[in-house]
Amino acid sequence: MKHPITLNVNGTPYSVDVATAQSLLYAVRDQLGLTGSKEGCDDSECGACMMLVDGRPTNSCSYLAVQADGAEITTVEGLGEGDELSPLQQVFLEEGGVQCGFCTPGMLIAATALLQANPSPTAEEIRIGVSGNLCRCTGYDGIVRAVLRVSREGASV
Amino acid sequence: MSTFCRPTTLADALAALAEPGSRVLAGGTDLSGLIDRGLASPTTVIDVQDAGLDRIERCGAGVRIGATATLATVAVSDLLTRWTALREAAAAAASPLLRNVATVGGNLCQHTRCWYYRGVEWTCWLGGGDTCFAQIGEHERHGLQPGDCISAHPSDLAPALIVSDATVVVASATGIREQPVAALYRRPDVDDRSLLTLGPDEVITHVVLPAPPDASVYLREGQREAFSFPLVGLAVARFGERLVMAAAGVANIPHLLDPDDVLHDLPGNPQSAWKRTVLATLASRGRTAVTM
Repeated sequence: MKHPITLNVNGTPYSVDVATAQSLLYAVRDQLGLTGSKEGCDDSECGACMMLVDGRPTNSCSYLAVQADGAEITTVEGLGEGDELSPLQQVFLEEGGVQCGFCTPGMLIAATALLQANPSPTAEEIRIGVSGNLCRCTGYDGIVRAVLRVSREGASV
Repeated sequence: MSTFCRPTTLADALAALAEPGSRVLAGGTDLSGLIDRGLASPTTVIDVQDAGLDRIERCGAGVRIGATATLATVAVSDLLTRWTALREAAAAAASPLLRNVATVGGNLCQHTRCWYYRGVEWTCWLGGGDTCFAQIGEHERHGLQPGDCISAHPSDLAPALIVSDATVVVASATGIREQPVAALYRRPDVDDRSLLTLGPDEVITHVVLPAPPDASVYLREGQREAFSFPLVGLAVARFGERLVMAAAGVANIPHLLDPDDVLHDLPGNPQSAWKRTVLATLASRGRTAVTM
């Protein structure tokens, strides 16, 4: 049985029909065509699928689309303005926070949520804040540097 | 194919749960994975996020925690400062981000992480088959207690609640009952492979903490600090001179330990016996932590 639901993604309401077992990740990727969020482990371990659901960072692979009916959802596509990167995205590039890029959408979402809750995190708080996101390339240092810098520069995330 | 509902009252949720084949979904972090792997096929998924079960409130000398309170909320609740083991257990479970979604009731009822049970290629003894593949395969992270199933209990909260003498309130359309947290679990047998004593029409609505212990602590070892399940998770509480210890990760249900002989009944085997060393070490540290 399909359920008609509304997903408000990056400020745009989308009406979609989903099966009960459909994950939020695949509703957004396959039905809305927003493929920025990635599937890594499909078991909440890697964080590549992270989205903000009503402001709360959520592993969308382990969250049913029907759970998100009516919620405000932010994916990586919603962080910048058109082709313009958000300050956090820009410093991720400049500080070496991106290598292969597969973890980056989830990492950006987790870091955005962290900065919204705590605008001046310490390096340790950043490491804890993104500890649900695995990165196999950067060694995390560039990511931590980027979050520290955007925090220090006081740019809105 | 299954249907979905999101009731806004407990009564409506219980009425839906009375229908055979329905399952409650709280945060969904465990159930969604079980559905994905075909380990659960509910006819109706009942999302209880709007059923008003998320409050943490004083209750006599103790505290009452709604079953859909998130682990993140429990970890920082001002009402729970005297239940150190519980707060530490909530802060240790999963990852910070999962703790925003994962709930108290879901954590207590989550299924084992045994890779044979979760594997989609076979049906193990716990899943209704003939063989506990862990016992003839890789089981270095499994339990130490012999039996038909050597999976390791995964809940960090369960031992912390057990040593705190907590109870769970269990509701169905036909009534409410309250029982110790330890009684929520059962050792599976050949006739009933369930690890929980909940009926199919029952759901945990609250966890009730009586007066706090004089001191408590939760110590655990996982593969990493974030998103790991307890290889060994030990809760210790002291009430006056009385010590209570319970552990996750060492048996297929939370295991109450004899503080003077914590390894009793937990022989393990060559692959998993290293956990005995970890358990004994944590017990020694825990005893010191609550008696200093």
